[in-house]
Amino acid sequence: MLDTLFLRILNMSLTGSFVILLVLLSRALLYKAPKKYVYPVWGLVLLRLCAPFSLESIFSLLPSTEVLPIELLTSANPSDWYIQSGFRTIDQAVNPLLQETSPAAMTNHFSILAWIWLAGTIGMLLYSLISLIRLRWTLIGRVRLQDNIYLADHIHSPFVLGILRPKIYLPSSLNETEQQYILLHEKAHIRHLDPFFRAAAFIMLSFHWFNPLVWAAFWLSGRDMEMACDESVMQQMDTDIRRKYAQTLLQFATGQKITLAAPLAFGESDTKVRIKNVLRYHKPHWWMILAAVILLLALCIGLLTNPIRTDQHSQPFESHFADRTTAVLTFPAYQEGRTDYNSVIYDVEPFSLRIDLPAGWTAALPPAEERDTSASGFTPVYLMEGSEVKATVSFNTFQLYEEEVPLEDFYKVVYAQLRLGSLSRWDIYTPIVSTQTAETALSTVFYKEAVEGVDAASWPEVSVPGILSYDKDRLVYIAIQFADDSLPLEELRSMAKSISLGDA
Amino acid sequence: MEDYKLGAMETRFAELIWANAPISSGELVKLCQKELEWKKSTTYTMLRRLCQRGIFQNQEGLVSPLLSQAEFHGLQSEKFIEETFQGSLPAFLTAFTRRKKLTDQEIQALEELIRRKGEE
Repeated sequence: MLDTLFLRILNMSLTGSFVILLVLLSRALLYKAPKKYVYPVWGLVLLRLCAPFSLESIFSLLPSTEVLPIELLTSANPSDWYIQSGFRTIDQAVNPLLQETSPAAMTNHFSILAWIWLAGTIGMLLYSLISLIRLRWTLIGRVRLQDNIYLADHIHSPFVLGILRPKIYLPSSLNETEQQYILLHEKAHIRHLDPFFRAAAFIMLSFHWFNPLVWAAFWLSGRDMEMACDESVMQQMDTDIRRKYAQTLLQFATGQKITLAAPLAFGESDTKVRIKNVLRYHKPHWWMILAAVILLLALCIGLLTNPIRTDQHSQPFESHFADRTTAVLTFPAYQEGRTDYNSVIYDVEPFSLRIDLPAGWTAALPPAEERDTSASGFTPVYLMEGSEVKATVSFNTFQLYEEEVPLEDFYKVVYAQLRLGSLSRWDIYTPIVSTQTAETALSTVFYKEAVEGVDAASWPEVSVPGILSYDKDRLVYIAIQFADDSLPLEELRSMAKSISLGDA
Repeated sequence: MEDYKLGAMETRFAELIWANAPISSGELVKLCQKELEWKKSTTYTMLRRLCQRGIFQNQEGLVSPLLSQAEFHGLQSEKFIEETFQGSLPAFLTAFTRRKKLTDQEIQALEELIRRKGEE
């Protein structure tokens, strides 16, 4: 369970990283705009880091929201493993390496990483808890000034503490004017619900502590938060108050602590930038506001929705092999080869075979003179790459036995003839897709390669890959025999997974 | 001896005790609840801190000062002059009178003080 949780966190972190990068880009673009419009964008990052979304749209700017699929944990078969980062080159580079990892190594390493992650998260949460306790210890002799504003000795800079009923704490050594400015600023924090969002941000940081981008986001969003508050104060005051406010900021520049220490309370951070921002402030033009709002909306849709997934989710290799074509073949494919003895088979209710072909492959009927029965079935159809025949697809019918056969052995009934052939026999059966009424499997065809002038018994035995698929309702099967071993295993599996037998 | 710097809130608390000493700790708690809105535990903690610094003592529930307010201010001033004027009172007075003129009454009081001190 820890492993699954960690996998989910990793996926959210990877997605979140991409969101953070896009937010950083928009922030850079909106450099001149007031921070008030930039700061809320960080909320999107927060959402993405913790909430699994299922809303899909074509406007999604994200390449992938599930880079690490659950199969990495659920399947003990390395050939089931893959990543889908949304970037073909990355997938193509990583997947072969993945599939060479041993299952033991995978589970071990993953578990170790999961435990390290948990330790880190707990460590961070504990640290913040301890910091909070120590802060409250410092605040023991506090005295209320009015409403929710308190004066305290021994604190170096003012802050807000508390989420439900936030309280403002001011150093007891402030004079009247200082108090006035500071209060405007801290009250702005409360108005913006900053104590809540900062706490949420820190919790997210605790869960994603291994991700440096999340740290960057935490730090930058903290700065934007402060500047948004400064701007809020600016809006309420005259222009020459700016200088005095900047001076007050400067006063608290010394003796500042990093805001990580007590995440629910925040002091002042990076005074230089804030002072610059304050002195540079002017009320934004209406078109700037409009532009910012539009950008914000666009980002919301782009970053909060997921990319559209292909219909056949169980086909991981589609995204990173070149575009495939889906072929639809009808069987019986033609009438040639019909004899009195096999007409029953040719009279079967026509059915269709849908299959995804590798890039550059096409399906074609053999030229008239080559249309005949094949070793593995009737009305063979060629799968060609250019002018080369790469595989032959044929079909046959089968009958049910009177007695019940267990499902895992049913294929033996279906493919009895193929398995017991003398010149050509099918063996090694690996199911790929199974249902109650149909099964597709990879197999191997062993046949004796004809050598001129040599006795048949002495012919060498060669093997090539094959795919078998039966349909219990229609009582038919198709058999694909490949011409050589050139197709990689993932391609074979992919083709097999894409097979479906249906009505013509 | 501990340092004699008190924060503004601590000073308010100390002044409360000096104004009402000797006072039972229970009474003090009630007083602080009224004046400072402090919980019982807060008052006890703050009291303990000031006792540790040698300003007050709490014996069997009775709070009394170890230093009177005047003595305490004297120690604070001494510390201040030590730190800022290297212990030189004349230096302090020079700095002080540079900004503020002494009134005739103040001069008289000072002269009287010096005379008495000279006799000790």
